[in-house]
Amino acid sequence: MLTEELTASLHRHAGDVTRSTADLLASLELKAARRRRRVTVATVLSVTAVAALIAGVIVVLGQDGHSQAAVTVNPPVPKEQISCDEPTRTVPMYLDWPCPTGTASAQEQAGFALMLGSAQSFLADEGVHHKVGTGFTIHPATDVRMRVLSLGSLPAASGGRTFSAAEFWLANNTRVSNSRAAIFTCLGGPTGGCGAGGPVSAHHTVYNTYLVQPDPGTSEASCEDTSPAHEAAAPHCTDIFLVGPKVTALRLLRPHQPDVIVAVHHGSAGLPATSIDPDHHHDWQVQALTGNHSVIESISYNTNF
Amino acid sequence: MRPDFREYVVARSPALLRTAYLLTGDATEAEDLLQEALLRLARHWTRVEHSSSLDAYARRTMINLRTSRWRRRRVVTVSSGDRPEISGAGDPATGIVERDEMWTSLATLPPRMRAVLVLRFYEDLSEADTAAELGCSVGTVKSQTSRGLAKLREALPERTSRC
Repeated sequence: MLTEELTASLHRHAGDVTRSTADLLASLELKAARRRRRVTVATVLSVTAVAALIAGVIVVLGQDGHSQAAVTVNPPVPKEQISCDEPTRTVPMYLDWPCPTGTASAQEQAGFALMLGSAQSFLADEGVHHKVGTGFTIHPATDVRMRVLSLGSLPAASGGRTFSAAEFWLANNTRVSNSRAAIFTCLGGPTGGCGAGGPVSAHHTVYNTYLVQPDPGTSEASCEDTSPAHEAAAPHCTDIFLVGPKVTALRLLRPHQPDVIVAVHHGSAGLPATSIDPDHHHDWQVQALTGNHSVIESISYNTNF
Repeated sequence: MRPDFREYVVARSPALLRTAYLLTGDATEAEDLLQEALLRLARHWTRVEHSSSLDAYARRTMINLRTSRWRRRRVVTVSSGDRPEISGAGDPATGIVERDEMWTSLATLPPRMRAVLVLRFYEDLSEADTAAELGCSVGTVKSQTSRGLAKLREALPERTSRC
């Protein structure tokens, strides 16, 4: 019977979807807090405006209508700049964002922040200088939902995982699946080459963010040793951003106005370093941003290769 | 958030997410829908927390949100089809899901009609309960169910011949 088949189909598909309750609760907390802030700001602005209006009317009446009241309402608070120099601050992007301390894990996290920062500054048409190790600035995400999706079936080839994660996300997100995307990824890392060689759609543009690794014991960075190899390994990449402890070159080329920006990081960004076993687990962070700086997606792929 | 609301989310969000998924057919949309519905529930928690049908309230919110979004939607996004190679693509279970024409046909129904079918055949609600949850008459539920099934039959002619 049709109804029996319908019932069976509904029950079968209902099992396809799961979400971490902790993730959902964190997301709800974040949203609720933002909503409260919006309401507070709106209320303050409304009260200010009404008070100013009343004051203006009083002024106008008091001066026999010879002058007009200038009603000035302060503009909304500008976008907050969050710096890791303030370790007590919380970046909503990761709920609890640790500052880079010079460890490999922290560097990976810094690398991801750099990618996001690059992506955002690229959109904002503003030169943002990032500094690894001494703190970095990053625009806070305004609308982040951390989703954890366990996928055991991402390509297991040695190369291309990062791009594949981005491609997978783009292909599976109906809101952006047909968008022209700029993918920011990181080729760098002590072992290098984690993102090279992956499949990339023709209408997506890949920007590699090369995280310059500092030499141990010094604050000097050296990119000459590895960047040519990366460039050779990833000929489809449009550009390479050089960022590092001493930023000497941050080449922000005007792109082709992508619909969406996806930043991908391979590593332990956003998760406690101790939760990652580097030999067996790879964590993919896919972060997508729209042109108005709001983060529309943040996905962590936990995969075993 | 209040502790009792958190308890409710912990206890009921998995089931509500499944319903949201059946209403939308898309995992991402389902998460959005559930999240928005729970936020609204949180806002009205003090008013509804003692209600005997919190789930019904949450489901109704999801259905209304889903219908509103569907009406507002102007751009339909289409997958580019450029998926990366996935090592698990040969999984026979994947094939079964993809061949589920019933699921595909369900996606063509308007959200309200789809909601009626989900409430009737997944949540196993009576016509009266479905009507109460949707805020409509029993007659409307009957007609929506009938039309929904007719559309499915139309889309799946082989099922019709078997019935």
